[in-house]
Amino acid sequence: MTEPILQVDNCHVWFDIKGGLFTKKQTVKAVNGVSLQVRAGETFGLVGESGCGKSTLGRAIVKLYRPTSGTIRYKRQDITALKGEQAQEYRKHVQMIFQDPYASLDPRMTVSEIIREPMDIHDLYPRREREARVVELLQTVGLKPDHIRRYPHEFSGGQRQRIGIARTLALDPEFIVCDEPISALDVSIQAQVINLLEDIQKKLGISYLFIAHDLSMVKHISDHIGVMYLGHLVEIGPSRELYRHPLHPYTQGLLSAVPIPDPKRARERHRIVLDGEIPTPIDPKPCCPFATRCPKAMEKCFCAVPPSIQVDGRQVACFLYQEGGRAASEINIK
Amino acid sequence: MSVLRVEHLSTQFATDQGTVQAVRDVSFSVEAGEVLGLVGESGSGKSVTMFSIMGLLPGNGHVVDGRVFLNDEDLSVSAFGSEKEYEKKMQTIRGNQMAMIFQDPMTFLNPVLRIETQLMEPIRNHTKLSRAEAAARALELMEKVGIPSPEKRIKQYPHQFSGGMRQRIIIAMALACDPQLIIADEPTTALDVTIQAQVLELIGQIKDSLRSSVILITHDLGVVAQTCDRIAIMYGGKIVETGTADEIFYMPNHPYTKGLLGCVTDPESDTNEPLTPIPGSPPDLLKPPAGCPFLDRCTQAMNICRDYMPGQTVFSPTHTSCCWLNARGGEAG
Repeated sequence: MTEPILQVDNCHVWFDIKGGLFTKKQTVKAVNGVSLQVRAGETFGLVGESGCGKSTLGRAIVKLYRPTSGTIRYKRQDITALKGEQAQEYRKHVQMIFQDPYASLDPRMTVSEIIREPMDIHDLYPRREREARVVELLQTVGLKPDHIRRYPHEFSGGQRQRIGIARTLALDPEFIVCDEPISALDVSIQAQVINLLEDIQKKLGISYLFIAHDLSMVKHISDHIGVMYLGHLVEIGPSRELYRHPLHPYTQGLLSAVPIPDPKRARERHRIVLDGEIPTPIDPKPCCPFATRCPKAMEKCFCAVPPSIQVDGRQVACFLYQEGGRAASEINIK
Repeated sequence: MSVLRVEHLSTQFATDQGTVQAVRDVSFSVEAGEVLGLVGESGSGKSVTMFSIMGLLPGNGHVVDGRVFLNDEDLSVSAFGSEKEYEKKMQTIRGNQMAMIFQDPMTFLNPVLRIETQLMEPIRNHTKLSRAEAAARALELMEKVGIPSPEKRIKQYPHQFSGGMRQRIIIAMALACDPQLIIADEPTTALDVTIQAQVLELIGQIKDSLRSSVILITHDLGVVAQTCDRIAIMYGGKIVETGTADEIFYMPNHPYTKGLLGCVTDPESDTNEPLTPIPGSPPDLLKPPAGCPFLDRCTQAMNICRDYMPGQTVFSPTHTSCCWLNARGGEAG
């Protein structure tokens, strides 16, 4: 097996909320002990509902946040402590595509300036060649070279996202964190952007961390998928197996909630509708994050955080599968 | 008898750049007790169609043509002597016979009023119930939409509720007067998947228990497949295809409908079939094309598509499509 290009070990990202005169200091535990690996050239999908910490983790990986504890290793090097030039060098290799193509482009810069800027900052390519490189990048993402003098407001949402992707590619990155790159786009445009990302990966061999809440698209693009809930990764597995046979009760509930575009099967399908809502990540109790909503919660789920263990070639953090555990198939709700 | 009938509705907006023809000659009907899905991308005119029906267009929007019938009663602006009389009539209908559920529950709820006050408003406006009776009704509605400990929660303010709970409150408000027709404008778009499943289940239960009709506006084909009896597909301000859920999903006729279906993936299928996106982007409704709105993105476009809007081809009592490929007796697909 190839060595992982990115390895996250027991990563915590906590934010302090300052206490006031009458309130205690509180801590938002956005990412609470996450470990994962991404191999070169593969796509790792990170799914979960809003507030589960998936974007925070993505931002920690590109060094926009500093982890409270734990390590993030990129090609064996711990990047959490990198500073100055080393950090700059790291950012050249690891780039990010943002969710909102309306907010992530400077409205006062032309397309050419937007795509050139990373090259100027990192002093990549001789000055004269940069213009040609911008044109080349525009073509890679399916825009016309004569769009170069235009401003972002002249483009539609899908086209803006393409400009964002071209800017990301300007530094020839090896790893891209895609933070919900399609959730702001229309259905027919989403498919265009997904295909574009897949083509780029095939051509350039880039690895992706693909963060999304749209589970059908994530399955389509990812090799491995991690399911996050309240700052914890509850299950990691190869995407097809994970969808066919989810192990963690949350994964089961989440997948069951995804509407399927087929009326006959939708009518026949047995659905698990999870009660309640995701609890607050402010000072969470030291127990299984999903215990409050889990249809199969046991007493011990409220006492301790279940460790992540290997089951059927997959990692699951659930007491149902622990100690001599029952066979996975016995527990499956479906 | 149809609960709602819309005939040749056209709505325009006056803007600095010119006239936006947001809805162009749209006709459809909703039968008693059915869920009609109105599917389209942003800017296809689906929300504007609903605002036109409800008489909730912003100041620069005008219904320029067409009629709207609720239970055979003409509710078009043109049927009334003046805008004022139309508005007076609509006041008695909105929230009473027709109610609306909006996409973003936070902007629809008033942040400075208690939930109780907001829930009682439609009841007091449209019925002769006393304050105490209306309060009791409000509490009953909170229970109906599944809000835990309603006695306590009804005294709270919107910011004390989560997104899913706020959407439940909006649904409770819509149900206040047992409407015949509920228009739900992307009711779950702002919600997470597991909360979306809860809200969709609730809408289904309500439809069954009240026998109300529902128009569900959405862009999510999965949601449509799961909840709708009939589907109308909108594109560029026009309805391009209508049919039962099975007809649309298993026998799509219009190239746009087929294109949309090619853009979604089935989370339960084992084969990872490639996505077939629709190239290009939707037309600019400032200068809508004279012919078929889908022309620029259609892989099978012909010369005639450029100049003339295709007529409706009827495949079954429920299935119609507007495409020139059908008119030539040729294969549409």
